[in-house]
Amino acid sequence: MSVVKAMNPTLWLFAGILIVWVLVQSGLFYRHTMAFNKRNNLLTKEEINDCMKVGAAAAVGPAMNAIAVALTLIAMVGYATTFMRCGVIGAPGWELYMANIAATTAGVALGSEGMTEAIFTFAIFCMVTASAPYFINCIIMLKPLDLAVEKARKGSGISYTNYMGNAAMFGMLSATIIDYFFQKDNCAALIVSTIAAIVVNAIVKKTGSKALSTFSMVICMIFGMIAGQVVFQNFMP
Amino acid sequence: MAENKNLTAEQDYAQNFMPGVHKIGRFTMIVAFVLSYLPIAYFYFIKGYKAPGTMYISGLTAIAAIGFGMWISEPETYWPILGSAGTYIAYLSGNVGGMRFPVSMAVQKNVDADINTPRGQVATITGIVASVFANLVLLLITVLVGAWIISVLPANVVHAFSYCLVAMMGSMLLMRFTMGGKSVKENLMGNIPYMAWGIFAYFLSKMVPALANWKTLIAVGGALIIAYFIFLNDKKKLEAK
Repeated sequence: MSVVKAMNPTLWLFAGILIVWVLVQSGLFYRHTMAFNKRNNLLTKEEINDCMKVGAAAAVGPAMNAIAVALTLIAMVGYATTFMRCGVIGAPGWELYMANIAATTAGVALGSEGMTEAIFTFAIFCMVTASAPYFINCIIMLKPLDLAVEKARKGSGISYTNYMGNAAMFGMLSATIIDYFFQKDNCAALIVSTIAAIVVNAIVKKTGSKALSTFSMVICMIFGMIAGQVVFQNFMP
Repeated sequence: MAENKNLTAEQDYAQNFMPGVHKIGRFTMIVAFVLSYLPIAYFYFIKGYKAPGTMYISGLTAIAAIGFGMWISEPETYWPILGSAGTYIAYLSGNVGGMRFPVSMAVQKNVDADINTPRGQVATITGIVASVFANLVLLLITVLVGAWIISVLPANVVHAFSYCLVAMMGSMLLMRFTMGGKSVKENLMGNIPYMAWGIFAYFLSKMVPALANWKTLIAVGGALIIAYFIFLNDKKKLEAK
């Protein structure tokens, strides 16, 4: 761990550069989108503010969930590397997995005294390389995909693009959700959050409450989390 | 970029907005790729922290074996929901499935617009950008005082956060059933083929371990193919009228 601590100050510098770049990218996209919105009056200022609130609020739960894993990662690879890897590209679980692969390959335990500067550099290499191909994929694939969609959109009558979002979403969610039905606690979380969503949706329809609509996902998430925890504590060995 | 004020929103979207998205996306991703390897290059070449080349090859092989399927398929599976700008942002800032995906769903529901519409694009990008800032602030807090936060929170509260994603999925599914001005029943019936395929993909990946890493691609790819046939059928019906 002394090696990690010694390399930490330098890593903070690189982490800072990368995090700034993430913010620059988001800023550029936001500016480009707002200019487009201004030209075409697609969303009102209020709707934009609501989207921001929804985006920020919906990020809190998963971010909190990531804290525990991030703390494990801090213990293994230090503060700066965790901030750099979890703030850019990676998710804590994935990064921890990759760091472990690097350590296993090098024949040392993560965070142990056997970790040399060279092995730690190698661990960072593994974490970066595990996510970098996604960049290449995005650079190569996204534009052709959009061009294909645009071509389909230009065709007469209805467009295939209108079917894609639902198909992808339901295909993905069904393949993921089914796994949760085999575990009591996850199943309870899923069912209760769905029921909460039905109730919240009905209240929103009846009252027209914008605030409730904005935070509906967070509210349902909290109910689901409570249900999962209650079942875990009381009905699982 | 020259922008003609006489264009409709759809034309502006196709002629100016989307090319701009790819220009920003590709440029920022190329720079990010280089920046990601900067600390390694510094430690390896300047500081001389060199592990044997064979170790790098072994590590690379192990990572490629695990990641290859996801590298070539994952961005495309999220793209129909995140859109191109959302995908660029999500793959640079991370937490795609656990954070950007639910955020996209929530904002699209909030404005009742799909990602394939200019309105949906604006809402999704705004929501994802907000989530990036929120996540970085929370991550910074975690790095600085995370251990203290965990120590003051009761253990069962900390454990409850592990249900956060599954709890989000329940509400996400329902949200999708109430979108597009259709009734829940209509949406449910219309999406049964995709859901059935998703469940099939799940069991297929369980029965054939070699397909485990490809589950999402099979689920989304198959659903998109089914959607294409439904689209052709609907088009035929429309043309017959």
